[in-house]
Amino acid sequence: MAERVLLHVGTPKTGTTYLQDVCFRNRPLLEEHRILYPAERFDAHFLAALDLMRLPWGGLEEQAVGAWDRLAAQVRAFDGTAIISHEILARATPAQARRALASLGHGDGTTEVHLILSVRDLVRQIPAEWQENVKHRTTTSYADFLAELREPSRSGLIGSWFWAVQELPDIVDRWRAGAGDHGLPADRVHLVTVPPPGSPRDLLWERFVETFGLGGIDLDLGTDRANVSLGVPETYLLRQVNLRANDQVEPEDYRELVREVLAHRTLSARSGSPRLALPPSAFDWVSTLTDDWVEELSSQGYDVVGSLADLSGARPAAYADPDAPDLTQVVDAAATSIVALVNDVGRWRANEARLHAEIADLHGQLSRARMNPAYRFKERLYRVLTKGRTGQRVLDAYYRARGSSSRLA
Amino acid sequence: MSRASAWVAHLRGGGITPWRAFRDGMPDTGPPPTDPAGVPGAQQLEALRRLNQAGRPSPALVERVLSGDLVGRGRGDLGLAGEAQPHFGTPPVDPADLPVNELLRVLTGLLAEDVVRVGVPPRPADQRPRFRRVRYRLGGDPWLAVPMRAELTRHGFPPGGGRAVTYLVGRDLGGMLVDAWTRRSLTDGAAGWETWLTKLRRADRLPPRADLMRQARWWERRVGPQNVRIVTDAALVPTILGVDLALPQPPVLAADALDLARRVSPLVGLFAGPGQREELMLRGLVPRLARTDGLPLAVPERFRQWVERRARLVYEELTGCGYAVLGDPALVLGGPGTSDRPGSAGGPGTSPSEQAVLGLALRTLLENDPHSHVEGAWRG
Repeated sequence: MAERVLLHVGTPKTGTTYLQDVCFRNRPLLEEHRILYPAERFDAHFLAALDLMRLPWGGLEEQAVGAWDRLAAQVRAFDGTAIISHEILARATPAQARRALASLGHGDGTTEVHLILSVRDLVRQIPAEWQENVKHRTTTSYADFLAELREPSRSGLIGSWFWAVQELPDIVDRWRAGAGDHGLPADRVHLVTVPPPGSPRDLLWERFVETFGLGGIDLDLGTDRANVSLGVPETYLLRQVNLRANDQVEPEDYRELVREVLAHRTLSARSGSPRLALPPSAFDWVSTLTDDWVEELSSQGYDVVGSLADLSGARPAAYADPDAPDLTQVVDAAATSIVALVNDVGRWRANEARLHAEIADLHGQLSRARMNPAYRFKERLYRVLTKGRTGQRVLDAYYRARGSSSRLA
Repeated sequence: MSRASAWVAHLRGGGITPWRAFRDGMPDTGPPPTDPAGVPGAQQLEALRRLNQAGRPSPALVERVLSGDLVGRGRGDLGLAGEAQPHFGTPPVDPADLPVNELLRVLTGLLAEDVVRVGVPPRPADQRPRFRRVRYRLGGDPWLAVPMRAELTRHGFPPGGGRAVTYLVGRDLGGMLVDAWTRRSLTDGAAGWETWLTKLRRADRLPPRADLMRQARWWERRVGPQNVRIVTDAALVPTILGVDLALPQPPVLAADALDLARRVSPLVGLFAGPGQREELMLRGLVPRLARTDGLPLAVPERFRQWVERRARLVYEELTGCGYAVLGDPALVLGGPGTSDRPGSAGGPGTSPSEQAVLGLALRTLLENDPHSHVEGAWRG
């Protein structure tokens, strides 16, 4: 039975991917230090979260059946500290949190479950979340996105999801409610704050190291899984692509060509354009909301790694509207994109030419093989057999006896 | 006992009083529940109230509904309006005001569990391939072709074989669109019927499963044009193949039943492993839903003009393409009298209604539970 379970339940856009990548690539080393990161594949905890929360995810859920129970079983069987981390766990309902905590041994008297939430100010979270939506084919404008966030009933898909994974006091309340009669003491709830812009680059990682007890372990920190961000004209351009491509581009083509080639490899490399930010008109609303959260979180006495002051994001110094960007910048981004795609097509063409050359070579080899008398005999026999029904039956019997068929299905 | 807890007890006992009326008629005599994880959300509670209206659920089914997950995206468990609520989180609601979709999130998750639990009947064994081989491939409209192919195989006529001719079976274009969406809804998951049609019309393209000419070109490249035939009347297939068999017509589902299946289909994947969903849906749920009364799906009037234009294009291609066409090419144009199969463009039909889908979900859930009763006289 695990002595300690460190359950990292969010939030999105707070360096979670980096942490998960480091833990995944260092599993053997961590185990030497009695720390378990139970995952056979990088997205194992994501699959477990889908299973726990009954979330369909474009067919991926079929691979997730039973994933949470398998994960929990590994945790229970381990003697030491176990880490579970996925940001969509922030969305769990109290009933789902109850199931999760019970399965991990919470309340059994020997396992100590700690709830960890990495948190970042809403001033940065709101534009980041909209951009993430755009990178996943959304066509919603920034103005509509913001309007949906401010809609009190949260009945839309955008608002319901955003607040479920971002409203910090509510996330902790839901997980603590799931702890039931056993309770989850405040000192077992840890809030890791993302430092404000301009802080030392490694500061967030140092906070993770402290919280997850990773100090003194010589971890391989190399990663290429960091989320990338786009500027204002680039995001606008991508949304325009979505508006035109959604009815025509197949999901796998979108993933490879739009998200990977365009967004991740091309547009995110452009750093000179204005960055996405919270509109000035929304700052006071966000500020009031944040004050309310900080007051609540402070009053609960949770362990804070960093400072709750980090949650009070700074008023953006500049703002460029991503729904009405400078079109010169958009054209520039579009031209860069076209060049990137042309280069990509060039690579495909080169590949195609190489494959054609290989096919021609194979045809040559085949022709030479056909000069072989044994082959020529077999070919003549096949032609004779396929001319009549009896011959065809002989061939069918041969195929069946061979156990495989070269016939067309 | 708080009013919320009393309402839960009322519903557990089979009650059907809406929350607002119940709350207004009862003084609050206790503190709110201390364990929010133990209180079902407004969605589950309203779903149970509607279930009590539709029949008499067994105690086991009552507990399944109350503890049911809200599958898919959307709001989490909601509190009840008028009760003390935490300062944070989604505002509470009057359950009677919940959109149908929120209730269906509870019910379709339970129905998906049932689909997996019930499973599929054993598949009858295929006969050994007959001495007299029929060399064919059957493609085209998959809703028509797949069951025919299965039946042929079962009777000893498996597809394939040297020099096999490819027959692409179609019907009127409106009906093929219905069939394409039907198949897609049950196997891959799909957007709602009219949303799907809107996207197709906007892009002015046919889905691959309803695009006979595209399929014909694909096969032509592989087997040559002389080995591709287009069949516009599925009833001709046994004669064309020279088999003395009555090939099955696929089931015609009521539009509401089909929409319910569409909503359940992606959730089956939450409970069944990879590759099982199609079998569970097509051989498990569909035969049960086929017994549901109601008008079949049809192309709505506002899409008719587009479908007719696209059908004329198909007809022109069909008559000038050089492929052998078996059956009257004009059948693809549709219209009254061109097909007696329900769901055809010329026949009666409708689009799904959310309220009817909800009603069907409630009835199906009750029917799936051997200890529950549909529309019983008993009321709490």
